[in-house]
Amino acid sequence: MANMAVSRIKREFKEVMRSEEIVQCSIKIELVNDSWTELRGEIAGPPDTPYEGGKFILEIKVPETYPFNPPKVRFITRIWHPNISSVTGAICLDILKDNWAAAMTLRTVLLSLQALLAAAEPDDPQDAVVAYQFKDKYDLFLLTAKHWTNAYAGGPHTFPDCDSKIQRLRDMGVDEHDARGVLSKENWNLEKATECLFS
Amino acid sequence: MEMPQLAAILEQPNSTYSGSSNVNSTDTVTEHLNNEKHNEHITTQLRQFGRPTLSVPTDSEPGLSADKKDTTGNSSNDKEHSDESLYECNICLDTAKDAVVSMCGHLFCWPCLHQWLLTRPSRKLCPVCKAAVDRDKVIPLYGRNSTRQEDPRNKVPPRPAGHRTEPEPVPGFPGFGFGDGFHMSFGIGAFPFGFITSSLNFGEPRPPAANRGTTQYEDEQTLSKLFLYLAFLCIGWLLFA
Repeated sequence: MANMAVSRIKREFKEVMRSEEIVQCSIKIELVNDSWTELRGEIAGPPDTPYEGGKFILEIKVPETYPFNPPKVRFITRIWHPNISSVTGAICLDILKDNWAAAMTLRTVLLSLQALLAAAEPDDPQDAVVAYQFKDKYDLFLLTAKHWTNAYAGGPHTFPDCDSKIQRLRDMGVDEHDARGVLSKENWNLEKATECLFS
Repeated sequence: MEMPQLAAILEQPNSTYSGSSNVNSTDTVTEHLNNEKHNEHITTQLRQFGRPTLSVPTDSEPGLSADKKDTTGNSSNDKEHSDESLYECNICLDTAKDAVVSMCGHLFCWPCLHQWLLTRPSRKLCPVCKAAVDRDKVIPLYGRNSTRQEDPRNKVPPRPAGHRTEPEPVPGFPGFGFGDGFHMSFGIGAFPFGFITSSLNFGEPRPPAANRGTTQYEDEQTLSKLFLYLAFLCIGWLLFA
């Protein structure tokens, strides 16, 4: 069965390489090791979303039972999205769990994840804090998501206000990523963030 | 006018049609043809008649290229790929072996589909369109030249067949037995029920009657007459007594 997983991944790899999306630079895939069990995907942030202009790296682990069971996918690039953990990068997407079908491929998985970035499902969240912000303070969510895209995925929008607040926390000895996480969680309220960090 | 020629070639006893390889059989047919136009026509015919695999040596068959669909690109590799992918299993992405097609029209190798159905016994859905699929709702595909016409569904699943043993016969009224091959049961009861008991015999079926002319047949005739008179006697006795 492992042979089947490898031979299929090889075919899918070729399929991605031949696909139109690779020409448009919207998805990309590369090998991590020679055994074809681990790959690295990359998706471009979809246009008209806070992720536009960013490149998001994904870790793809192919189980021995592939394609009868889904590949294990998580974001390596940090991202602020209701259905993706801002801490671990774990993804909440039905096709990577119960709704997986054996005819799906790496290409369709990457395209589905791209679609997930464009259409979040805050009612079925992976990251409850992000989902709450998405539903309650959508403007702040957009700002935070754009800031994260800029900080981690090379997005174009810079937010000097956010950067200065993070710098203030870093001056207090807080790690940059922790500072960004707490400030994002506390809706960029520096006092609450400080309270949360040092209480 | 080309069809009879095709038929004649196919009927030639020295052709390797009964052989194992599809490629060989195609070569044999093409060797008999000098006319390239006929060559093209016949290879087209062969393809239409459901060859199980498309591993046709395209380089050696000039007529085949006209028949190919030019969908993706200009290079021959692309054309070859687009043509072959029509017959790829939707699970292993290889050319379908022991092919079956679902009611929703999607092609699979039976081993692949079987494995998929085993992986999710509670949700038997088509891997492509998520329509319902089941073992009994797929159609096996047989190519014209496939030597083994066995249903692929019977081969691959190591699915044990059910074992059903007949229950032991319940000991009861043995009926009237007269040696081998003759069996008769006869019920006696109050008037209207008497007919029912003698005409409705449940349980073991009667053995077939002996052939006409044999001594056993004569014996059976005599005995049946005897019992018929006896039955009339009993009924008469019941009515008039």
